[in-house]
Amino acid sequence: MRIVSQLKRLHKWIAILIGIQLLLWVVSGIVFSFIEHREVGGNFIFKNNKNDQITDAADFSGVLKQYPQSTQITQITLLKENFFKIELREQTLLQETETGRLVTITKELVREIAIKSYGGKGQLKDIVLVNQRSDENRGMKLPVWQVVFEDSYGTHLYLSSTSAEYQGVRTDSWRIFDFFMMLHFMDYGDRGNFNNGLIIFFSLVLVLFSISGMLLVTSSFSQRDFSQLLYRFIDNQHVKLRILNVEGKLQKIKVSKDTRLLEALESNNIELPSVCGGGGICGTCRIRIVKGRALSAAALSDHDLLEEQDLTKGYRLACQLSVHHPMDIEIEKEY
Amino acid sequence: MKRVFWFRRLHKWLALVAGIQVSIWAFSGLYMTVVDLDIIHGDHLVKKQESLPIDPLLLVTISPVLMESIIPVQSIELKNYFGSAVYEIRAHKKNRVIVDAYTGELKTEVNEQQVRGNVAMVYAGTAEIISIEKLRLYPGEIGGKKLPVWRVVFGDSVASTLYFHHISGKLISKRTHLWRVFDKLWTLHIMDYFRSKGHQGYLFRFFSISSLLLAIFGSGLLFYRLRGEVK
Ligand code: FES
Repeated sequence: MRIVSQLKRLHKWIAILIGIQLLLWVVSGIVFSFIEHREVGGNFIFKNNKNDQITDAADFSGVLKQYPQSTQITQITLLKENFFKIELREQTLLQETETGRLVTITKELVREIAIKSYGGKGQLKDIVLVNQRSDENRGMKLPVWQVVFEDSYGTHLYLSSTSAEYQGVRTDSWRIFDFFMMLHFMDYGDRGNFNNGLIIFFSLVLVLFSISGMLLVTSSFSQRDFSQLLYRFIDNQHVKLRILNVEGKLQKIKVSKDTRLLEALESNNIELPSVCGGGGICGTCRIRIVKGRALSAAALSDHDLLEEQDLTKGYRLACQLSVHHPMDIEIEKEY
Repeated sequence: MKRVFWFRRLHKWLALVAGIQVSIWAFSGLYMTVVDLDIIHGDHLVKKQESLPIDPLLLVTISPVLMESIIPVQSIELKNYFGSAVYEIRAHKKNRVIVDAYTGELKTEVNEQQVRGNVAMVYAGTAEIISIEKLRLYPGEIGGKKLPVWRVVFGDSVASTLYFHHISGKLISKRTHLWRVFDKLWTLHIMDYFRSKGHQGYLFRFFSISSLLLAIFGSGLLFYRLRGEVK
């Protein structure tokens, strides 16, 4: 039965394999819980000044005849004028209702719309027609109008170059959020996709990691770990131990009840060798119980790391043993 | 006490505190990444939307009398829902009025017959309808608005459900058990256990910071172990 050691080995190897991503998941999760979600969205920076009121319904038959392949036609107002917004599969166009003329979205028009809707405390700094794909304009149809504001949020407003429609707001908070989203979703390709093979693989491994971890929690806690806390804080009880080293030197010590022997010795300045820090993995903290009730019980890790005949001779791992009754203990190394 | 003892202890106790939530994150994360998002959204349940096959010659312009009754009008959308041409007039405060684009009359509510017709046009699956009913309110899974809605449930293994607007007959939402599981797991993933705004953040912060410490002490243990000795 080497289940516990196998689990520990599995846990260690998975930690090596996905440790970095695990840290990235946790750190990005913390970022998501602290970031100002209002600033990520950025909509509050713009006034929701709804379109002006439409008084007369336009005649849709002309525009419908012209664009039978459109998926939707909407009459809207923009800066007090009436327009048809024509949604085609590939793009959205703007047409004057009166004349049927297609509207070109000029820089001046963009400026007028941007200034009218901006509600922040900064200045409009620049208007650029962007042709280059970037993280900020992911998912928007290019070219797209980018309006840069000089304010504390680092606001960029995006408007469609064919219909002047709102495409999105990007702020510094959004940029941070987006960066950590990329890390969280391991989404280093086209972006916006969390069904990629890489993250599926890592999630699967994480599931194994958490299962092995939970099993290790159940196997590495003994009831006495909890009573030990009680004894320590409420009702300090002690157990007497007699320690013999190989040279025959005898030392009597008093330790808090239910602490692990390894730690109890440690606090009495008796340092046993320990590579794993009490993990029940390395087997270096071996001691022998000469006399005492603990002789009857051996932990799972004892069975994993010690030979059966040694167990019957009284050898145990000091890190797995909780001190409950007085004992005589023999240690191999000098101290 | 030696540093590595402390790492071991803290790792162990933190695992006791945060272990279950970390496992929840792992399992919910796995589900959400494995099942394709389009399938979660139920996109496979419906056919691709057609463009407007509305006859321009039959189109009626909305009368000024009607326009005046819906002040203030924000926009007028010409839409085609399953072969019936409608104007959807958006007024103030999310009010909507739906007008038949061929008669200029206000649309009245669709009946079961029409909903069945719409299902036939939009549904891309093969399962039978096992129930079709008009609910007085939107159920929780589509947002709980205080409006009536038609619900059509199909007899497939994931209880696919389509929701249709009570006046226009428009498809509003698609739900399946895959979506419902996703929704529950999402709640677990972001620890929104009480479905409340403010408090969920603290719970999440507590557990995410605990897991960060768990991971840091774990890394420390790994470091000592790989080095193969204790200082
Ligand atoms: S300290 Fe490593 S097994 Fe006990």
